[in-house]
Amino acid sequence: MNLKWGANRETRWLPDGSPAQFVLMARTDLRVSDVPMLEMLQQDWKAVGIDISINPREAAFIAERVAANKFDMFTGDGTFGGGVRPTRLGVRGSMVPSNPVSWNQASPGWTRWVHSDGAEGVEPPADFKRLYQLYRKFLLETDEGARIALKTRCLPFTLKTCGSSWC
Amino acid sequence: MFLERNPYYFKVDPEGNQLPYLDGVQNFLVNDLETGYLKIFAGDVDVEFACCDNPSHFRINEDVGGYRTTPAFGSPGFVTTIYFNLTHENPAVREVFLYRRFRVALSVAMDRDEMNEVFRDGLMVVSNAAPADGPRTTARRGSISPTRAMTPVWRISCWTR
Repeated sequence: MNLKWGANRETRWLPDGSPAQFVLMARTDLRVSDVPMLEMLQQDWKAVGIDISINPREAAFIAERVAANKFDMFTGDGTFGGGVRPTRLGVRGSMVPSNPVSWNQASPGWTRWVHSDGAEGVEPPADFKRLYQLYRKFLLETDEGARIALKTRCLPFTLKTCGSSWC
Repeated sequence: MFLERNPYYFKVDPEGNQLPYLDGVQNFLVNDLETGYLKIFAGDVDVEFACCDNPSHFRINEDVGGYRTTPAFGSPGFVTTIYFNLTHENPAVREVFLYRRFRVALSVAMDRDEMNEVFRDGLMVVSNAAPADGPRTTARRGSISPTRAMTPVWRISCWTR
């Protein structure tokens, strides 16, 4: 992961010399077992030098923090670019920057940028811009086959640009 | 909240019977999941969709609550996915989160199988947070992911009375 260990060999260090300590906001409104499961994850990551504290919160609080870009990481459910419906894209929970206020995307700065034509937010990488362009085309497309084809083209971009733990 | 049957609903079933069949649906609004689960255990609920918490918790109370628990398969989305802030205000954190191999390393570092066994009774399909292959009821590991990184649990199941 390209981060050096601290002197105590307990926590790695970020490039600015601060310890790799993050806050994980965990949704409490989905499953009772999520927080204890994430405590297991906490131990797994501690073993590789990443220190997280778990902050159990309901969705509304997390949404507020994400919209304000005041968070490190959070948990959520989702579908990948619209789930199983091949003609659907950009539903809540997808990786596509479909909605400037959708909080289930881990790049609120990028999403604000593409939705404001660069007036707000953080300029995203080219892949993310391309993904948004494809999404805009998708919205205007009425032919089912063309929509499926566009969605297929979106997927590699979402794989590159999304922020979830598998990327 | 009570949803009352609309007697003027326009659809009928193949035999010509007026739909919907149900006279109404009573929804209980609860403050937290635990309260909702207690209502299930007490037999106060006719139907509940409980996504992905340990089914054994529901099964052990079946006799007391007078209900039965059955697995079902919904949309093959992914659950308990961890999202990193790729536009973090702190440049050092942003740099690290944007580094794809950092995220892959954390993904590989988590023991999903153990999580699945302990917290999902081993019933979930451990997989990527990626598009699923196959039909919605049998979809398994995502086929596009370039890494072996996976989300802790994946398949949505539900238990109904």
